[in-house]
Amino acid sequence: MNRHAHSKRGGDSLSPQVFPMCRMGTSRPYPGSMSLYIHFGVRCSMFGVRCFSSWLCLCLCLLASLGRAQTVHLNNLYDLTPGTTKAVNALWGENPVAVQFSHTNPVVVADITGPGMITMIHFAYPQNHASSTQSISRDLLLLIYWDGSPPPSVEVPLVDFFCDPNGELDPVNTAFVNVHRGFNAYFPMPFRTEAKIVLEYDGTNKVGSSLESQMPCYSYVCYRSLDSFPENAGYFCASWKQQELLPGAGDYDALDATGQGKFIGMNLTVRSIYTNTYPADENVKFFVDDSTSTGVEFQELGDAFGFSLGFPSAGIQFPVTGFSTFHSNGIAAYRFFTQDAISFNSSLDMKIGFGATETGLMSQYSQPNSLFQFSSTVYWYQDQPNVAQPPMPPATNRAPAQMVFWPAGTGYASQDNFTTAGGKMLACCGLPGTELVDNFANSYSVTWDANSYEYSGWPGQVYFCRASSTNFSAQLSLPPGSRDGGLLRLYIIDPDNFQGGRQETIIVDGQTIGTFSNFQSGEWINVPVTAAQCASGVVVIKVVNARTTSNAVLSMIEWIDSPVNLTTQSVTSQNQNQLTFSWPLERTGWSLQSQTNSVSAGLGTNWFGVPGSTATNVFSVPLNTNGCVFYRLLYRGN
Amino acid sequence: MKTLSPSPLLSARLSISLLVYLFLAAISGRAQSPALGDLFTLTPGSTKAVNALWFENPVSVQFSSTNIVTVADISGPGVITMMHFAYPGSQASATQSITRDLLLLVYYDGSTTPSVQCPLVDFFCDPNGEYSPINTAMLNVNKGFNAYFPMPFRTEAKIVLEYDGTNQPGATLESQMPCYSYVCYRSLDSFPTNAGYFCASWQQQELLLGLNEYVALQATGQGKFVGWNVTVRSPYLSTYPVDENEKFYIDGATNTAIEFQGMEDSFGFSWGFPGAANLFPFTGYFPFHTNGAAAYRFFVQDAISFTNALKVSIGFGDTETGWKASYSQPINALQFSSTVYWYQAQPYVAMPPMPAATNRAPDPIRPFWPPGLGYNSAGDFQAAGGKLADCCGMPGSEQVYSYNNAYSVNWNSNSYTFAGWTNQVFYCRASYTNFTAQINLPAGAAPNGGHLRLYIIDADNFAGGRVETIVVNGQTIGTYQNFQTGEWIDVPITASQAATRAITLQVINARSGSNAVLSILEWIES
Repeated sequence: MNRHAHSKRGGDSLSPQVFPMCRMGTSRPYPGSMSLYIHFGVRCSMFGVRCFSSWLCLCLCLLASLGRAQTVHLNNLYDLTPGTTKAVNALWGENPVAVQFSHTNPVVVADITGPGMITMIHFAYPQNHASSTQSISRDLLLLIYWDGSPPPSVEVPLVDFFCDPNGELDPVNTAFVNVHRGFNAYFPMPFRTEAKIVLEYDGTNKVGSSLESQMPCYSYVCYRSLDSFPENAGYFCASWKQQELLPGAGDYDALDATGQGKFIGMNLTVRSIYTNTYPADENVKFFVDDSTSTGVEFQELGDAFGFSLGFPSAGIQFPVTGFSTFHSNGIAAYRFFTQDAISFNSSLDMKIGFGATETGLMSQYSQPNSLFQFSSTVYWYQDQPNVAQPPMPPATNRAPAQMVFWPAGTGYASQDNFTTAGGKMLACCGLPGTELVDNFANSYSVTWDANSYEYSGWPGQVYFCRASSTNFSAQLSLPPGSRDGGLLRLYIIDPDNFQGGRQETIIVDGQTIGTFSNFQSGEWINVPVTAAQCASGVVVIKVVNARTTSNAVLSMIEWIDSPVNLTTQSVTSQNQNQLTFSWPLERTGWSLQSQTNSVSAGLGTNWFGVPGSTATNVFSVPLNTNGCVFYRLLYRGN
Repeated sequence: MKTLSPSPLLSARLSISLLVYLFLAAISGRAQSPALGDLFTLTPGSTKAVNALWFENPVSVQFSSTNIVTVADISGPGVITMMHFAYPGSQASATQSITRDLLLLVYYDGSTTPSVQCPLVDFFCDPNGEYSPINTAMLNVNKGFNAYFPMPFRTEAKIVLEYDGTNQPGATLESQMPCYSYVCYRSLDSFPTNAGYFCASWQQQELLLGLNEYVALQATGQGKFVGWNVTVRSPYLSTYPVDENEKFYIDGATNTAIEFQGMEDSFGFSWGFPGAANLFPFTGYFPFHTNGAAAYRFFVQDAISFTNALKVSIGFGDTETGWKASYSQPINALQFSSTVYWYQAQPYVAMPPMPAATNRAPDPIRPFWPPGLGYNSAGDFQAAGGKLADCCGMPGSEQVYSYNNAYSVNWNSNSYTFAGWTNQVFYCRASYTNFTAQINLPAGAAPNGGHLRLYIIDADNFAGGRVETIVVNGQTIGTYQNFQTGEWIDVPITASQAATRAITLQVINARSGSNAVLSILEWIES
């Protein structure tokens, strides 16, 4: 190319950014191509004779494809861009009922004939929250279909599409999307024959005014008509997924795209399901064009989003990268790629996981309590509109998982089973993160003496224990309501058959329960504890090593309350219309609950507290002879 | 305190402000969004990222084994699209501690001299590593440094971090340096036509801006200036001027083609910088140390092109003779630092000399020690028991030195300040009748008494020569005349006089039609 000819333009001749005349949304990345040359002749004629050299135009075009810093491109703002620009309205009362949630679901908020390009999309907040606090959740999906394609190229919960995972963050201020009592997206989205933008609510509410008040009350989609689909352009695509996994055992797979394309951004959440922290050591990996090695691998989650050493202590939103805290124990982060977009010719596989050399972290995050939940929205362009979207879970499964850890290998299959059986406390001794797995009403605790240490290096479900080469003790504290006695269940396991097999003696409240050996595959020890024993509110467990050079271990402690009898007085002729209940005096303050159903319905879930029952331990109710009535006694406050 | 332009320049200033306003209005609709118009183009080329520093990478690119780390060495043609540097492992907190002893160097196409040579922190618009977060369109910093300039190259791009401070390579140094870096790039078929190499240089200088301009850049060849960040501080005073102009001399012209008339306006503000830090995508400002400003501006569609040379300097305008006189005085010395960013046709850059690491920190605020005092330096003065030095009537700050800020002078309303003489001691307090000064001492001062030293000078031989009487604590010290070349008067003060914690000085005009003057007052404790 000829610098002298070019320099006639004086001024900004060296610009690596953009040259004004040749940027009409049809950048030419391939210099020297005849088709481009022809195209440019056309373009120049459209603008009169402003372009004095079509050769020059080609050079300039090459520049246009380069150097797109994340900065504003003002160079060509003055171009009198051709094409018709329009906006399609929907949802609001001024529009047909066919595009309102009062009458239909899903709603096609725009169905535009091409060729054209969507330039901007806006969604209003729902009418039912005039406050700036957002309440849309993941039960509303944004779907975009290109050129009559049956599968959507964009399929994302609306809030997640706007970098607001699960609808919990406001404002969102990025270069591409923003949210503040309104959702706005600025991605350019070219299409050939048709663009169909759909909002689909798949929650439990039915079409009607109530649903309408919970959905965006208004939307508009701006677009520009084009003479033809821009050369070398891609279709805008976005997908969403959420997954729980052990990051040490396998990577989170955020995107599997095929064809030619360009990755331009992502937002991501990561949370621990069971612990109060999340790891930031995961790498973000891009496998380009079926390569088995990464073309781009950012070696830490914080760094992948432009931060380091994890994330900063407070959220921050830069135009192209940012993060916020997510729930109490995770983060939500976004990053957009513009001049640094990641190109691919045949495929792109984006994963999140530990680096090949990070074996320690892989081991650590393979443990069951290291379960993490990731969610991600990825944005990319590709040459074909067909996207193999990851399966979209039903609306009820899209919220971030609740933090309830129920480890494998306990005496009960789930927390519900444990609770139903009267289980009040489960301690997984030595479990990293939290030993006290279940603790009814926060009223039970375990205190360890200084003799014991924590260990969590065994393979298998129960990989943790407290241990001592001599002996150690644990003091169990019970709340007043639990002092009628109960069942203490202890689990010991010797998976490594240490020193030929451990041998240890277990003593509860000074009484020897037994000396145990050969528990390589685990053994439960049930110790009934009387009301007299736990009257003080304290049960002391002592574990004594009974074999020289070995050690004593304890892996789990469960406390099961004795069943509480709800006593009924016999119905006599004097009080035949009264049913009188009584329960132990020390359980005063507990709540008598009841439910009344037809005989055919039987036991349901419609429990309610009997007024006045928490002030006494004897209570009379009128005898109901219609249907069936169930009663239960519930711990105070619950 | 900020210095405003004198009123004759007001109309010019307002018109500049208006232009700036219009410029900002023009971009405001775009907010800070990147170029979205052609985001959909399926850009060809292979995109990759080169990792370094972090332990997942070879030890040869870790500060544990070397103090000069090549964080990326990429074969071209290609374009670097993004660079990231992590915070050091030693600061898990968000408070940043990298200083100017870490340099960022970028070499293109095998050139042995760098085209980018800046302290890392200054490159990221964070002069001396004191401010976070930084939020600009081209760079951002918040527990991590990110740059988005596109940097094309023909055969090779080599990006180097060089630590030249006092620590040796090893675990300690590693913990103080960025713990991780990545450089993203895209391969190209060929170097883009008409493209330039990205260049950046840094320098720092203390000077009297009334005598010399601060030269931030002297580039040769064809190119385009795309931005800078600048700090300005006074080493002596608690304020800094914003009246200096930002001048762009293009292609060897002796006249400026672009001259922004006021530093704050050159960064898009006006009437000094705003009261609080403000970071816009293209321009911004934040306080620097306690008495200075750091500002940045990027030029995109308004980039400044040149065909064979560009000189960028900061100095007063041709007509600002008053400012030039004032900022020729030693007390008004200023320290500037600057990072400039530009593209040019050739990778060769005549870099300004990089001072040793120990000389890169901003100068500390230090007591000003003007010429003409009774002692040669603040150190001499302190060693002699000097507790208070006052250059009466000197602009900016009369009180040159006050031990622990515990000593002070109160002038009565009879005196006025004058600073129009041409010699070293160009200032005085004066009155046509008489004036007094009360020197205040802290409790316990001068247990052995001391000396009040007074300097009078009659530089303009006013009305045929001044005559004046000096009285200290009610006692006449003497009547003085013929002090056209200056005279020191030494007045011993007893311990009991000093114990009152106040010494009263009176200067009385003894010649009708003339006036009484006093130029320097020093208090020395025995």
